[in-house]
Amino acid sequence: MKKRTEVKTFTIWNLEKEEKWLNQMESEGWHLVDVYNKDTYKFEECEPGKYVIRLELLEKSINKPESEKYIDFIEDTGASYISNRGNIVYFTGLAEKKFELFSDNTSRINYYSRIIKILRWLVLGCWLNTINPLLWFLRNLIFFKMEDEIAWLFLPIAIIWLVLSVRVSVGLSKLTRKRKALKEEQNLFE
Amino acid sequence: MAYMALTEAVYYILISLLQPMHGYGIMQNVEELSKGRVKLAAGTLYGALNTLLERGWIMELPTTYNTRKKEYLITDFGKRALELEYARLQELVANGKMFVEGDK
Repeated sequence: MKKRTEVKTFTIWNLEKEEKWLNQMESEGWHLVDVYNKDTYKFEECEPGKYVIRLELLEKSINKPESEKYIDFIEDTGASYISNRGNIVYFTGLAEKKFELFSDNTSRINYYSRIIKILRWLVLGCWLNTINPLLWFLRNLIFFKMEDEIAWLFLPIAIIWLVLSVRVSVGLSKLTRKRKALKEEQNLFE
Repeated sequence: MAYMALTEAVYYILISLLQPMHGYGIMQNVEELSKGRVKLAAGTLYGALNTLLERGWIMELPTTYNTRKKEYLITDFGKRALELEYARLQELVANGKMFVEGDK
């Protein structure tokens, strides 16, 4: 059986994009069999479009009993657990059975809220990491006229964190907008 | 009890659990009852079951050797919620009959 590995990085706000890519691979006849090292996906050749991949960010850490219980439950419904990447888990089920993890807006909104909650902490952390070296740099610039040359180092550090902060913030706002759209739909349906 | 409409998923889960059933059984039962219209996804069902357990509307049955999969059953409290929802749906249908059908 032919095998293939791909190395790709997906961020936590791009889980949908990741799932789409994995299902694109399935439709081309590459079935996901393992995910490891945080960014390596292993595939095996199979009948194109036979399986669907669904991934999900777990509520609790992967080693917690709640997570084990959840994975067991999903497997009992006929799907299979493939692997995990941190707290992201990968399931596969038959395409003909239209395997899905969520079937209504209430549960989809809950799921988005789970990711948004984590992202908010991440955004906060990133901005604090941006402001901190920036303040050190400004302090040296304004009060000590850059006497201490090492202070120049704070500037690139601040810039790197700034870029990161902006990216995470954009990711967060994307997800928040998606959740809002679902909530608006919920006012009418279900 | 402050009364709010149940989601379709919860309504059908409660109806299913008038008899003991495990997760996959509920999914199949709901699909059958709704003639294939309502397909409960596993994650959605899991979340709903946990919420219902927390509320005390359903309970977990002790697992035995021949039932490895966990089974659930509706409680009296859950039955009450189901009856209230049934009454609400009847009101909706009755008004639909009067106004939607009555127009024809």
